Amino acid sequence: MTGLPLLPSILVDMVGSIADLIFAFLAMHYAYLLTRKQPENFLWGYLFYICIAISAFSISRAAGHLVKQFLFISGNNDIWPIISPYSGGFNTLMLISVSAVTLFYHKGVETHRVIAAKAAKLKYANLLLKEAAREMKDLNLHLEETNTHLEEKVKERTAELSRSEEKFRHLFSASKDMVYFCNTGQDITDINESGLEMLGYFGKDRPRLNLHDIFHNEGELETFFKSMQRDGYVKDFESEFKRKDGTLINVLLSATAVRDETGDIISCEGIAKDLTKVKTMMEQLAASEKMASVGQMAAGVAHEINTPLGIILGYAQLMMDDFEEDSEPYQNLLVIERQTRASRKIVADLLKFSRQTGSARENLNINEVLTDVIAVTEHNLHLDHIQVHMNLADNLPPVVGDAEKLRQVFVNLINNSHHAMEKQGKGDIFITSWFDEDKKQVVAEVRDTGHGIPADVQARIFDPFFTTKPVGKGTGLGLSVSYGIIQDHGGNIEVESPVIDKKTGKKISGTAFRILLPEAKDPEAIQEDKDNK
Amino acid sequence: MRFLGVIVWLWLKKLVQLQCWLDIMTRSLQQGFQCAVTVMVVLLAMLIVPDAAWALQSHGPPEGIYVHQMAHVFFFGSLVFLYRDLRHSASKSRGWSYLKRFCLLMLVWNIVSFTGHAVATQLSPEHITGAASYFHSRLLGPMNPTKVLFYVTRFDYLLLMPALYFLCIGLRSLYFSVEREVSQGENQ
Repeated sequence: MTGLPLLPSILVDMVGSIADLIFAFLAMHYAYLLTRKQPENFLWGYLFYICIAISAFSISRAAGHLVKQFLFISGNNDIWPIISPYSGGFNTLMLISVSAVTLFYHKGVETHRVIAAKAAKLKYANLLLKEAAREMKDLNLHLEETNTHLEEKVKERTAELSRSEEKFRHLFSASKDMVYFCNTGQDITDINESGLEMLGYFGKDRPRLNLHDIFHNEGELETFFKSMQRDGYVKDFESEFKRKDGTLINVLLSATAVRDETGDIISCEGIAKDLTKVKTMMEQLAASEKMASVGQMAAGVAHEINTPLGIILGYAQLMMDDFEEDSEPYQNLLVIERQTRASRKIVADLLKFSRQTGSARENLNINEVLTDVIAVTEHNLHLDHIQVHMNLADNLPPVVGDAEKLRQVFVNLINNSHHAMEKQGKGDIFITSWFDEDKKQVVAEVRDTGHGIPADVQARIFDPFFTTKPVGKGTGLGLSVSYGIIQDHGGNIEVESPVIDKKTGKKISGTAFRILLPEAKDPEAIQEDKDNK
Repeated sequence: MRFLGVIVWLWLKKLVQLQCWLDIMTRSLQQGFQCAVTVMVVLLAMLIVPDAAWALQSHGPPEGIYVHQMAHVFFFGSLVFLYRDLRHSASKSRGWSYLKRFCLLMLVWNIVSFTGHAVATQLSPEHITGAASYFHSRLLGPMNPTKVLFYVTRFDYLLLMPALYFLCIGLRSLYFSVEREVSQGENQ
């Protein structure tokens, strides 16, 4: 028999059908697992659909083939034509389904890619956002930290600045020296209270001042400007400032120029110290030295002259006994005797000035001395309509001194006051005493309402033989002797003319002499002066 | 009636558009449901106005094999598209390469199967004898190319079996690789 056996194909058909079913279902199983693993992945879902379709196709095909094989093997060939159309139709349907699902893979993947790309972009954007958010958070934290730190620093610096400002403001306002600031036009832009008071402006009197207004000497101002331009500063520059009332004060000026970035002077700041009192003290010191020299010289001269004067006086008196009183020689000798006595008085005064005369020291009340002096001098004063006003402090501490010499001092002062008011025909003398607690000194003041002492002679009033009185009225030794006595008592004598009213600050015509004597250390002791220099 | 027919035609036209099916597959459930409702409405309209459906015709005996063969062609075409996409876009991993092999084998199987169906129509039952028993059935001679092709194409399972095998191991391989990725991601 020719032909080919169909058994191999029948066996392959049966085995293949069973294997197809197994593989198709296994594939579907793994596809399902994939969808479970990554449900969001479209590809796995799609492959799962393909596997379902292929499994259905495999069922349609394998089942049909197996049924056919079993029917033919069992000899029921006639049944197959009945089943065949359904099996074939179902198989075709499944084949088309598989084809359709497979065909859509392309579009599906494309769509998936678009979605995946967008998702990736979104994810990337989210990552960037997260990163940006984290950076912002870090930055915010850093900013908050920096801000807090900065706030603390600002507070600290502000407090420091405030303290510094307060410190320098206090230094500026509390300084007893003049502190000022001026601009390039030499206008004083700011000046402290002490500066204004130094220039004679009190209270709310705050004028607009210029350096030209306060410098007395234009030459000094020019020198000041030149130094500032050249060196940028001025140090210990002595000058005279003009006060509001026209009086002058001596100042020691130090100033510094303030420059901008280009080196141009934009302003200046300076400190001026009032040296008027120091200068007066220096002058007094110099005068004191001079007086001491003059005193020594006077003492020497007095000693030398006193002896011949005594001899002249003795011989003159002896010779007077030899002549009649009406005779001319007697009259001449009388003149010699009078003039010699006057000379001896001068010599005695000189010795007092130079403290060469002896003195007794005891504790005494200065009020008593003043009362004694007024009792003696008051009558003469009244003759010239001069009123005496006494204002003596109670409970004054005692001072150590020679009562007689102190009386002489006050007599000299009252006489000077008398002479100063003599021409006026009236006047007042104020006798005042008080105790200066700070300096522990007893102060006695004699003030008159006379014409005062001109400023140019004030420095010379204690010089021996210096007088402004007419010839024959004074020897010029009164104040010199008083000066010597007060010095000898360890005290001091001050003069003020015209007098400044302490309450109103106004000038009062006249002169005030103040005797300052130290308080007795041992109120009970009575000392005998043992040094007869 | 004609107007209604035009509307039905437009709906049909819309339905056959790819985008509608893609809507069902890729868009939200609500849009898919809307699409399904549209299909039902069209089918009901066709039942209500059968004279406007134009498609009532009888289906004779050869139509089944024609449809089946056309299905093979359709499947072949879709496999070509799938293979092309896999080559151009899919990963080079082992799983995807198995799937490509599945595609190739299925393509060949389609050709073999198509050929087998075609040559089967050329043979009559007299060319096969099964007188003794089914297992002893034979393709009777004299042999010609048609008969040889018929005989060879009866072994199409030798292609279909490995094709499905590759499909199976391809998906298995993809599954294990995904599982590895997931576990690595969890470990990190």
